[in-house]
Amino acid sequence: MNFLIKINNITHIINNKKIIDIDKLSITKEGISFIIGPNGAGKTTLLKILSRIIAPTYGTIKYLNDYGSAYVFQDPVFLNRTVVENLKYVLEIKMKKRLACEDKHIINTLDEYQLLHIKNVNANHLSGGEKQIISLIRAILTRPKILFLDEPTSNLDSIYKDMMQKIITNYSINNKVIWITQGNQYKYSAESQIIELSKGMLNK
Amino acid sequence: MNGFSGIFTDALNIILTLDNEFYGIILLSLQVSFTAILLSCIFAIPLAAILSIKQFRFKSIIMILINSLMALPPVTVGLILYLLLSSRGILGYLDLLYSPTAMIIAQFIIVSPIILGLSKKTIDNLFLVFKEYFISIDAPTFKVAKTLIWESRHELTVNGIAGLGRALSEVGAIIIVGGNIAHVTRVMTSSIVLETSRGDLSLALALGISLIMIAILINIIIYMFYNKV
Repeated sequence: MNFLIKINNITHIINNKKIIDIDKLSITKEGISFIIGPNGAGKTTLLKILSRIIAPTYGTIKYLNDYGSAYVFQDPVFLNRTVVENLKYVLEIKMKKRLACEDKHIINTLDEYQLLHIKNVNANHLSGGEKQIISLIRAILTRPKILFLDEPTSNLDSIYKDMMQKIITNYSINNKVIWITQGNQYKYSAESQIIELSKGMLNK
Repeated sequence: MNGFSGIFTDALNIILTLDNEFYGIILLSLQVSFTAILLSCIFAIPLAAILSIKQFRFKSIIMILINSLMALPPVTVGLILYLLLSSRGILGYLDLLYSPTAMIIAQFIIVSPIILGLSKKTIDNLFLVFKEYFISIDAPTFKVAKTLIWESRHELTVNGIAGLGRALSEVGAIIIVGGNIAHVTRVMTSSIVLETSRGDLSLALALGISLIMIAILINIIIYMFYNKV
């Protein structure tokens, strides 16, 4: 089977309005799958359905395996704690127990991206770019097999945008990335899957 | 009979001379109300978190009930509790009537729906912000509840202080189940009622002034907490 996620006859209705209406869609096993389309096309809703954050009104979703996943929101939210404490929180939940080496793992990861200087800053006091990058690090910290990204690089300056794109591209070598992007910002490679949405439907 | 200024001077005298009976009454008031609030918070805050997080049948009916109980008339609570705790009541064997414990139970019943309602609103607001994040990391309900309570601890403390104000100023229920017995169940509000009816207006006024001072102190604490929040 050459798919990671397969959806069949998915419809999602909010306030009597069809937000998503897709007959069939298979997400490829490897590389990056880009979800593109204009504002209001239903990209975020589709990503939330794929990541099981929301359940569709009708239809079925099949996963090849019960993979671990993580989601990076367009507007990330943080607990009112320091960067390290926010990262530790997700590690504790995902790993289901307190790890002896979790502090070291977090420090090493922050160091790797030259972000050690903000480790004790309250995450809610970070700049927009720092918040997005910490939110991406928080997502990949537990090495999920599938990484869902909801336009994490929009509204970022070129330094942060390049930095995030580099992290995401590296991560996609061994893991699956499903990425909503406004297009034109990223060079799609030959292996990339492009899912184009318009008014909640696939553009064929 | 003294005029108002005379009564006022006597009242200040009672406050400043550290009158034993007077401070005993204040101390008992604070003990009863603080205990009731503490128990209410232990009971109502986790329940509020669960009500915010979990979806289940009849949730809206439960919320209507809680909101209605927020306006529970203290005298009715006192009367029902009196019937239950009196020697012929089903809880009569506990021998709690006319004891500080009965007063704590009464205040607990009056204040808990208020703490529950306010806490649920506070936690609802925070949960709305974090809901999708918690789903995305697969956080278990217990952990979510614990996190939401901790993250909104300042607002929840403010709710608790508001409840304390309500408990301290309540008189209807505690006078029925406490009996206003000197040195045993006599608290500020029940003393004010008694002393006013007996004509000892200076003690009543001294207690009234203290009650207002405590209310102001509570409001200062609320203000400081809100500023911190």
